[in-house]
Amino acid sequence: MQCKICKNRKAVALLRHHNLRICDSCYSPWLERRVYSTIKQFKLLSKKDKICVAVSGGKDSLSLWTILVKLGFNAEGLYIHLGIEGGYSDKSLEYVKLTSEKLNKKFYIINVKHELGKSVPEFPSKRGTCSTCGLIKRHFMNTFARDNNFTVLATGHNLDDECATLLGNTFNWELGYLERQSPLLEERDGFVRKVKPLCLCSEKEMLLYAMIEKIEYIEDECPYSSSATSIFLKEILNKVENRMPGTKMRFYKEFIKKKNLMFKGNREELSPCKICGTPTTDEFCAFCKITGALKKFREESVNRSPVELASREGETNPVPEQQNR
Amino acid sequence: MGKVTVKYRNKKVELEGPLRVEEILKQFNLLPEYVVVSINGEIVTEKEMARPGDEVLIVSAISGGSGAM
Repeated sequence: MQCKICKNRKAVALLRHHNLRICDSCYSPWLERRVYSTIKQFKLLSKKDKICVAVSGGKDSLSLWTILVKLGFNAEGLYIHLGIEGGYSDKSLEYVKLTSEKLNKKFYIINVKHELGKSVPEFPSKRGTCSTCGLIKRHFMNTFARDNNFTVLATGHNLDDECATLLGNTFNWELGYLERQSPLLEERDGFVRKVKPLCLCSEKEMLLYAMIEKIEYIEDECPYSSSATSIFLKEILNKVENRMPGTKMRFYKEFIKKKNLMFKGNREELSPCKICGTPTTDEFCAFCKITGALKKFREESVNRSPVELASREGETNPVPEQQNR
Repeated sequence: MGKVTVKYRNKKVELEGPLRVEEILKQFNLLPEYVVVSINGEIVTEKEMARPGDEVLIVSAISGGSGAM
């Protein structure tokens, strides 16, 4: 079975949703062109941008970093060490180092245990480890990028990730989350611009790219992800895709095209969290709630003198001295 | 007739060959939509035939949960 592009070499993949048989030589340029066209279509990046690529050591984020550098973008990596047991986080870091050396690009490390005194699995959570982990990562990705003058934060979310999120949020009619789902989240009120250049590439396409380009990545599943809902949703979506090729792409692209009609003018107002300053719809952000910062803040508030409390709240005329005695 | 060795995750199974890759995937209850298969180190499509003595490796593309960025 020959490649449909060069009509010469043996095909290594049948991509039914693209009606394409493709060989290993034609594959990488084809995928890189597709990523570039996604960047152009959604106006995600420009060559002037200083890009922070969130890298986990997995195939998607390391492939994204590689593609952006190959396309001539100025992209550096950020690895968040989550402290996952069994050497998982340390091993992931090794793969990030390998890609960094290969690309000759810098990367930065944030160690959650050093920053918060606990690794991600040590946080007690009603929301589940994956949800807590996502929240902590999003917080550090945004604050790091913002404080280090990166103009944009790029993540390796692929088409399957986006479709699983879309399906999960539709099952629960999470209108707020549905409204925010997009390949591009513009810079806003303390949030740096966030982009997903792989949003139109399937998980299989990304795996093929990593294998053909010989990108070394962590193949083991995160020990906490075996029961992750996202994996279950991806399996459902792939069953539908197998029966009706192109379903995932239509599901996502049509949603992106039509969502502005559904959510016009419903944007929630954000204000800075009273503890860390992260933009939030509430008084305190979710990060401060789950990391214990809010509890500490409240305990300290009880012990704080009325003068301190008043001045923290920005009152110009604190409690009269007489009452303070 | 002879055996084809198939590796998937931490499992290693021997199947009677020759047989097509898509048949192997069916036996593992997998779909071509989310796996990449190689025979003796070369990436192949699901239409490829695995012959006795061949070593087939199945790699799953699906990932998720907290480790992914």
